[in-house]
Amino acid sequence: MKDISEMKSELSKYERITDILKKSRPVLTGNETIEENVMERIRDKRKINENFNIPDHLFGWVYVGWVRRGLIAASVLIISFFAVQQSMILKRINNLERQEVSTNPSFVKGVPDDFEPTLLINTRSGKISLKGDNLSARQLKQFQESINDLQARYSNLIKLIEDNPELKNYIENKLSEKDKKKFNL
Amino acid sequence: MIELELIEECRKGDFRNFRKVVASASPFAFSVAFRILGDEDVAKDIVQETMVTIWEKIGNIKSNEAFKTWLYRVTYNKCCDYLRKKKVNAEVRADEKGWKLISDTVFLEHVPELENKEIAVMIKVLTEKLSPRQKAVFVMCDLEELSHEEISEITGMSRRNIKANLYFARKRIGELIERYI
Repeated sequence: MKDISEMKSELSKYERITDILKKSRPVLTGNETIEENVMERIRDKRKINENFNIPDHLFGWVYVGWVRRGLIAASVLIISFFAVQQSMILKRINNLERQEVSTNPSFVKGVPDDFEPTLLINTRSGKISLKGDNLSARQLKQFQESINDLQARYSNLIKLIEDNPELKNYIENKLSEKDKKKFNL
Repeated sequence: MIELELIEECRKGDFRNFRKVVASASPFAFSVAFRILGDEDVAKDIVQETMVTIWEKIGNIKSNEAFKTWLYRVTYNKCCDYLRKKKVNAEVRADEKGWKLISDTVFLEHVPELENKEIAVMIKVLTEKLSPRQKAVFVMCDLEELSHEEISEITGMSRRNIKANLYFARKRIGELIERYI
């Protein structure tokens, strides 16, 4: 255990030492050199700030070697992929253009009211090919008109038969006889 | 003395008289840095870095009166950065010559003003066992005579923390004094 006098002497030594250090303030020598160095560093910083270029700051990284090489490789890949894709698309378009418009006979069973034969015409040639014979738009229109005329006559005939019961019975008999003959055959 | 008018000018972006600010503020920064680090050349480098930081950020301080505290804070942070980087090399062996110088000086009746070299030796041997925080608190409180409030503002430590660090710093220095003197 330390006695009080020992502690006091320790404390007084501590105080004495700190007091000496307190009074002896470090002297800054070469103040002018420090000032000059600081001003020079500030000038350098100012120059950097003045030369600050936003595009360079934003895109300066493209000048880094490996980034640059990577970008070149990526752009070559993208361009080649684009070229391949374009050639594939062109090829498909050409294939489609070469294909002819074909009509299925079963599709033209009966004639709808809004039948528009010109729709069937190949837009490229303006003609439709049917077993080697080419039909023009005019011929198709004539064909439609004759169908319409035939339909009108047929409906008139049906109406005439419906209006006349004797004629109707006669036709029905004739038709049933015809069916019987067919059946016998 | 640091002229507050010059600080005001710099805060407003007028750096024409910044050289004067450097001239007046450098001794304060140097005193703290030198006492914490115990190395004149390093302390001068720290002063230069501190002044450049001040030039860059002086617009951020709230008032001219806060400048001195802020100057100490910047210096303290630079010293801590330096000590952190040099942690591996920071081991200083107790120097017999250093202790002889201290004991010779303590028992002198009239102590002449010490030179930087002597101050550096004394500080190095006294604070060799202290952590950077303890060192900073000891220097600011016992040598620079700053209040606990000011130290708290400078270091960002709480008052209780400052008291604890100061207690351990004094205790360790006392132990060394007991052993060597």
